[in-house]
Amino acid sequence: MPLRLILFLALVLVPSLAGGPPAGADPFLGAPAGRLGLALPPPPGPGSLEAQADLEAVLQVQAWRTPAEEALAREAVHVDLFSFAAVLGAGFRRDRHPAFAALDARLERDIRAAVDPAKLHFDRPRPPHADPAVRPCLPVPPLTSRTYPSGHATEAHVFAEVLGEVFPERRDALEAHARRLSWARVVAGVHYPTDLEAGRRLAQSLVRALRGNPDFQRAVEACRAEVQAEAAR
Amino acid sequence: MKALVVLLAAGGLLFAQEGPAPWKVPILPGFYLKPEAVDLDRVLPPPPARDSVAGEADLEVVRQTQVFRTSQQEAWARFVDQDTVWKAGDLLGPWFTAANLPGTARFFWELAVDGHGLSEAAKARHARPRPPRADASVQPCVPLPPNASYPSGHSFQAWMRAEVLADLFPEHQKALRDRAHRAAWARILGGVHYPTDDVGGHLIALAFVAELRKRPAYQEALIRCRREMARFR
Repeated sequence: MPLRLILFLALVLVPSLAGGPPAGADPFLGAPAGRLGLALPPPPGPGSLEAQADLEAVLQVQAWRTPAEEALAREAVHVDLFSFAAVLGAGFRRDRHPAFAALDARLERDIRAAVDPAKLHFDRPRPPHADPAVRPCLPVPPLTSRTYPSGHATEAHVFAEVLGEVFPERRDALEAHARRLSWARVVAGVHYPTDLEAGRRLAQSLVRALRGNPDFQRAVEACRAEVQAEAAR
Repeated sequence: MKALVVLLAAGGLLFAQEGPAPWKVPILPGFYLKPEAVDLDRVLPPPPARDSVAGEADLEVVRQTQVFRTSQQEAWARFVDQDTVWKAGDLLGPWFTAANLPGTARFFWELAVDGHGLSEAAKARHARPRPPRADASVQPCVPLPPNASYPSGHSFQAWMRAEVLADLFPEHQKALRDRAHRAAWARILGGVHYPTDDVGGHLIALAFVAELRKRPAYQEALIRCRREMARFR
């Protein structure tokens, strides 16, 4: 059995190997989420016009990288629902919003279940491993880590869409922030632009599946109730 | 006939800065190479479709680059908007001017005309709209040219000049190529090109220069340029 297949099965069958989120949070979709990632279009082929443009973008963004962009890259190392406090206000915090915290933990499970098998399937090396001229401003991901689709972009766009269910009037600002958090990964030198777009597309199919899930609808309803209770206080 | 008139007009605008232009005859490509000398079918793949992963990623790079664009980047984009071979003079020395080198000036002007014929022929095959035509949120900081986006004529010219200069100054090859990368990227910073346009320009420039190097007339012109430069170096 090829090594890739073994790794793939290990990740699908033993979620703890993927360094998954804390036990106790159940996924909404479970195993079917894994198939969504595999349905993505493949990344640009090695040496193609599109692959060369991807690498050139990483190198030129690096050549022009400013301190403000490096700060963004550090800010976006960890992305969760509460990363959107930048849009929703500083009061949007984990310790004040248990319903959102619970939603975040469950979404993380589904996102990982969708992203990790796709990364192994498409098997695209990270930019610094493809070209030594790429010098990330964050710790370089391990040589075995894969780049397509971007997990951060998937998270950022899932969270923006889900928060948009609770705060529909903020949809545009939420999406713009998701794009910014995603771009931070190109700025950092750890992702290509097409990785971000693949993550955005995977987020769209995850959200489509989530909307048909009654359990997810109840969790979103609990978040709405939490926001209304807060407004009434 | 109409196409010819447009070509003449555009050529006159683009190359006025390359040096004194006392020649009044019609400006037609073919001093060293006619556009047909490069097999575009073989050299230049089509650009990504607008709604493909790479097409969306191309546009996102332009948008995010604009979000983080600094005044220094705008200045570079404007400097390169009217790029000439003489603007590489900071790498080569203050003596590298059109006034000192009239024969070299004519040589680069003729190459620019030949190259312009090729890049316009390539643009006509694909008719890709410029980024601001695809997304109104793209606000260029340089004039938006009326012609098609793919491949980038500025990238082509920057790469052609860099490679020809590298034939004359092999010791500066790396610095010349770094400059070509940055000059081509200035068009993405400016908001008037996609990253794949930049790479497309690079691809046809390399094919164009590979053909040039086979021509005795080109090799003889290099010898004349070296002779003209000898008293300054």
